[in-house]
Amino acid sequence: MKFGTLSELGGAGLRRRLTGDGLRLRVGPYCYAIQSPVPVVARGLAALYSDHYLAPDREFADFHVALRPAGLQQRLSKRLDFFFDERQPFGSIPRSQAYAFFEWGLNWCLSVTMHEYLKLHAAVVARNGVAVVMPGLPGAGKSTLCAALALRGWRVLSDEHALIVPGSHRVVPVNRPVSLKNASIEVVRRFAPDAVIGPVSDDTHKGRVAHLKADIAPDSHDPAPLEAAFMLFPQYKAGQALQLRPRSRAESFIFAAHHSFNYSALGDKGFDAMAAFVDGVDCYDLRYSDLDAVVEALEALVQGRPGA
Amino acid sequence: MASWALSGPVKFYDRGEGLVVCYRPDSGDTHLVNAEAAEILQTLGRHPMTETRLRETLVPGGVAGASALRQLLDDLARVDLVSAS
Repeated sequence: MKFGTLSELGGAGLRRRLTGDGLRLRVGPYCYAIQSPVPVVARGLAALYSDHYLAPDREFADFHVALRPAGLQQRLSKRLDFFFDERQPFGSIPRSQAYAFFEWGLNWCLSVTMHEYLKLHAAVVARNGVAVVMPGLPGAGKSTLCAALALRGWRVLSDEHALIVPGSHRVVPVNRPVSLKNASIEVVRRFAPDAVIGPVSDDTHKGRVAHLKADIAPDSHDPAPLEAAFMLFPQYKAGQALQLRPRSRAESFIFAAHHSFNYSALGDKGFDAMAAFVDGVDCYDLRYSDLDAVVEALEALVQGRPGA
Repeated sequence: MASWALSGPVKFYDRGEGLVVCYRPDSGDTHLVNAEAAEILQTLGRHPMTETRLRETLVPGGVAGASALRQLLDDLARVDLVSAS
């Protein structure tokens, strides 16, 4: 049952839940219960998750998370702590990094639990119901590409996690904002001046970080899994001419396994799940620099005309 | 002469591309090997054999000489896919 979206709460209702029993936020098949008295968390949620559905206040939540000072010392030194089920998996961070840290915390919850799926560290986008999975090393440009595609009408299933149903090449949507770092924040602002970008966190260990509201496509919150047809390995390089080259399935298997959160943890089932997934997708190396050109090439790819 | 065998069960992801993924359920290790190494593994997977017998069994035009075969066996032993007894 759909309960209503976050925007329907209004600012006061959102703050009341965040400082009370928790905001029950639906993200794909999961429910986060979020508590935080930090104003930037409320501002970020209001800006970036306004169209996300909520769950009833007392409903079961998969992840209970909080961002708040752990004690008096942290409060006095203006530092914050992330809590997952009342445990602190990380050290304290300065308040200036609050929003980025909050989003990373939400990522982490999913990365280290929920092994019913084979999970790849990958962006997942879709056009006309065809999903494209894009694993990438940090700095490869997958998030910037994911943002550009979202701003040109593609659906974003995830910027961070490809959840693959074992024995298939279906991916489960877990839509959340797209993480942008350093120069890519301005690149995306220039690409789409009306893009909704949330709070900026400075001086994080990844530099300057902000997030793009990425649930722009009308079907962004449809929970049904989509079949992936392609796995792309993007690599941004300034001045690079667009290249889309087929990659062998065996190499793609190894690369994807290396970028999986739980391939090893799943053991035999991980191998079988990866084999079934890779068998179902065509794999390509993608090198690019110009966002308009790469969006056009991927439009052609999903229409069955690679390189057109 | 020593007999070569797989160190344990191996699962293959081989789509005839010249590269093969090998997975060892016992250790959880996954390796990418070339077609020649995969052929050695698949041959030893049927039954253990000496290096001489293995060279005779492998398809002509595959692993070239004795030294090349020995090098491949040593490489596969180093990552614990095969062992000699």
